[in-house]
Amino acid sequence: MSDRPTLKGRHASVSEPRLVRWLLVAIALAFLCVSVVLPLVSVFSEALRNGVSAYIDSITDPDAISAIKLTLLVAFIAVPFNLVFGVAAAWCVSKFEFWGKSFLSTLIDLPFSVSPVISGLIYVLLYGAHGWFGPWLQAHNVHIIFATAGIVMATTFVTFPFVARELIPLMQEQGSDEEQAALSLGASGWQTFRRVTLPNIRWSLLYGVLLCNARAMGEFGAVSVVSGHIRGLTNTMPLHVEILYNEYNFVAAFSVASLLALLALVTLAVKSFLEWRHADELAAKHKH
Amino acid sequence: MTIGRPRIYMKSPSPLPGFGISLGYTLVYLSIIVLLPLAAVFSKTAAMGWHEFVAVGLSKRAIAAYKLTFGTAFVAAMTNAAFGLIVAWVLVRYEFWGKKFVDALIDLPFALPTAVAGIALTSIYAANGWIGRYLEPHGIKVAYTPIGISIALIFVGLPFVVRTVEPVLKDLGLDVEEAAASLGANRFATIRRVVLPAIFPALTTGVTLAFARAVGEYGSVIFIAGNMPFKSEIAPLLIIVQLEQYNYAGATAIATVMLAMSFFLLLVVNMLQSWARHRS
Amino acid sequence: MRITVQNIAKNFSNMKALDSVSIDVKSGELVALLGPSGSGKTTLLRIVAGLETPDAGTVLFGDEDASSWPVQKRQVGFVFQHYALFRHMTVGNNIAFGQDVRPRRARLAKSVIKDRVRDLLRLVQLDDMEARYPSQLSGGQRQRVALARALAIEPRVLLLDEPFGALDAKVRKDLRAWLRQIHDETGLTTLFVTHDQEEALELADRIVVMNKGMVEQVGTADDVFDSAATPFVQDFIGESNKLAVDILRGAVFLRGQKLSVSAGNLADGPAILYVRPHHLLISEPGALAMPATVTGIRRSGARYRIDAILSNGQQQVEIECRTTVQVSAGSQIHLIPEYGRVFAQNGLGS
Repeated sequence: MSDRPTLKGRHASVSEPRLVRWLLVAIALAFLCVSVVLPLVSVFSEALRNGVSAYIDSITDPDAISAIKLTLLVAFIAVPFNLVFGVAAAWCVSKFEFWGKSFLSTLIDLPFSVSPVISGLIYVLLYGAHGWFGPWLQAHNVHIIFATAGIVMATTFVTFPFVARELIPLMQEQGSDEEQAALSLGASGWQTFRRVTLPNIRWSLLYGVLLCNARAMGEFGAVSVVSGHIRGLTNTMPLHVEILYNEYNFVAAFSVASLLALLALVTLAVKSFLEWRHADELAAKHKH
Repeated sequence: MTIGRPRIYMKSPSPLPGFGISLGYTLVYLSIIVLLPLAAVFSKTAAMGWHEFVAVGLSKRAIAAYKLTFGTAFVAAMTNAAFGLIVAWVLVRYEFWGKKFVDALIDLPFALPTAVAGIALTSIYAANGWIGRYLEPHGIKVAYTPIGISIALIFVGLPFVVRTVEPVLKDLGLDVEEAAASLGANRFATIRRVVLPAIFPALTTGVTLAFARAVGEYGSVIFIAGNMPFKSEIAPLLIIVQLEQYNYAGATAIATVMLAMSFFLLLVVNMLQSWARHRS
Repeated sequence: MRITVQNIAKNFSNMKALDSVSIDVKSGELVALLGPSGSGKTTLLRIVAGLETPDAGTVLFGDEDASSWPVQKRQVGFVFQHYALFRHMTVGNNIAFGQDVRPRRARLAKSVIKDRVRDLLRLVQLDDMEARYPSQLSGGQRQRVALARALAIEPRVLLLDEPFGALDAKVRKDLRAWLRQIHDETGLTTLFVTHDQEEALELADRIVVMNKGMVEQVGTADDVFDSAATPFVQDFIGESNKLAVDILRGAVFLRGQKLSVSAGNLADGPAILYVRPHHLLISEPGALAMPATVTGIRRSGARYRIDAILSNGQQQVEIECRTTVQVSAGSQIHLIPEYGRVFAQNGLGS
């Protein structure tokens, strides 16, 4: 497409007057400033309102530490599960033609369109005291709702599609020529996947996992329903932020929140880096 | 004649291995994590009498919550349609200092936990907040009103619009616009009659996605909403309220109404996307 | 290794891709599968490779029935149309891949593999490209890496899917001669798919002409060019003037005028005469010469092309001749078909 006119150095016939361009950029930047930058800055500003030592105190408080530990644990379980699922789902959806394929893709996306609160509710209806399996679980003294297991399940549901969504468009675009070549050269199925497919999708996979992780650590609505908010036991970081905020302990709330905001910033930074370094290996269109 | 592959399910057999195991695993995992739990909602609703369903699911308080939820989500989606389009246009078409940074920033609402966004927006728009203090003297209350809810939903929905429109705008060849110009169309006519129709399906898809996400949003909204029944209580919060009163049937009824809306929106998005595919 | 394909049939969602196809490729032969797109030639090649499963029929490698062998076991060197090079591996690693993935006991020593890669790179004339990535190569170079990679597994047969399809004309011509040379050096049984008749005619020992999932003719370049078995082959390979004629007792008539071509043993009735433009000779008026009016003259490379309309029946013909004859638009000429093929209207040949 080298003979197509490029955006840089374009002719005036397909550009806007300088004033219009300037105005549009100004509007866009102002809008983003107010709606995105300002909230982000306010998190750190509120967190450091009483100085660095107050900040450190808030995030080293025993309840905060246990919330951080629980959040890490939940992500540590939910993310690998969804990673394996994402790769399996992307493999069968992108490399094969079968009946009901588009329906399956829609089902994979389903958790995106379900309110997080409902995502929590469905597990309460299954495993809660009055749920389908509730009586059986109580008889066997297994706790899922208001316990770590329930938080993990709700988090898994909410972050379910992330890895698959990242991989499917890329793997569809790449086709299966290279895999077929590997097979014709004598590679087994597993060798083909590990040595040909995996290296081709690694950066997209990494980004999918990061996004999945960011959401897993930050999930609020679904976790809020199944956790029961037991301090030091079933409180994740976002829930701890809520409790502190509702107790008017703003500095502590924003301090813990700032850790989550940092996680988001790191995720975005890695994403930008991957896009810059490995643009050709990442799917062009990101859908969420 | 060759290895026993489940050929019946496949439209055209592929030499690649792993179809059976990957599809099987996908279906089992999908069923356990997504389908079975969702089925619980509908079975619970089905077990409920119609009367009981209406009593909570369509009560005055619930209907007020639906109206508020869909109304604020609609306002937010429309705002994002306008500003999201401008942002996408600026990012694709113009060069300016810090563009890479701005581009990365668009995804922040995807990555930032909703509760963090919620408390941050509340602190900004509260009476003594960075923006609230300038609005309050003019009698404009944002925090704890529907305006605040809309602002939170604008934050949440922005990336959907920008990231859906951006690739289409990028793919749109300049030659089409040059052709329009060569045929005598001025810049405004070119944009209105050539560019906008081309990106319209993507824009509608993005706006619908943003709307769908906003309808279910909870974390970023509850801090800024005020949560007054009939006034600033959104539907997801109403589910929580029912749960706190151990009214599982009531929570399920509201959830069913919302799920039905979500599935409808999902259907709309799928239709919009196939429409866009047919046009390109 | 001799390859025999027997009664292969293949359907794709209600569309017949191959309909009972049988071919026989002798050991060391270079055979082209030639046909228009949708003729089933690529499907046939992929079935031989084991990349596609036929609905019926058998594939023999030598005397062994290979029909149920998975692609890995067939040990075929398959060169993909768009090369399918592993983009994350260097040229050297691409070529070594087939050896690297072998089970440990069957694998060559690292140093041996390295030498093998070097030898192959020399064979495909890419000696100093070992450390490059596919994205840093030109189309022709990628093609050669793909071939080296296929040769590295010491294949029983070499299968190439449109090997020069994505290259520009000049590179195609060079690679064509080079492929022939490699084939002669390695002595590998080679089967390649092409839609370019010139490529098939120039390169292959034998050509399999395919159409709509069936084999129309198998033969040498001379066979398919000069003695087409079916109207399709005659039409598809080279250019032909098509004239509606009548057969009467073994002679060919154009609107009552007897022509100099033989009708063979065709039955009496309407038929179609195919004459290549260079087989229409301009001659003196005579009983066997067809009068015609010139409508235009074009230069085509070293030769000239004359458009004319036959006075008998107003059918349009094209004549190719070496030198300018003294004609111009509007002049009257006489044409004698030096050689032609007559097919009955139902497609049966003479």
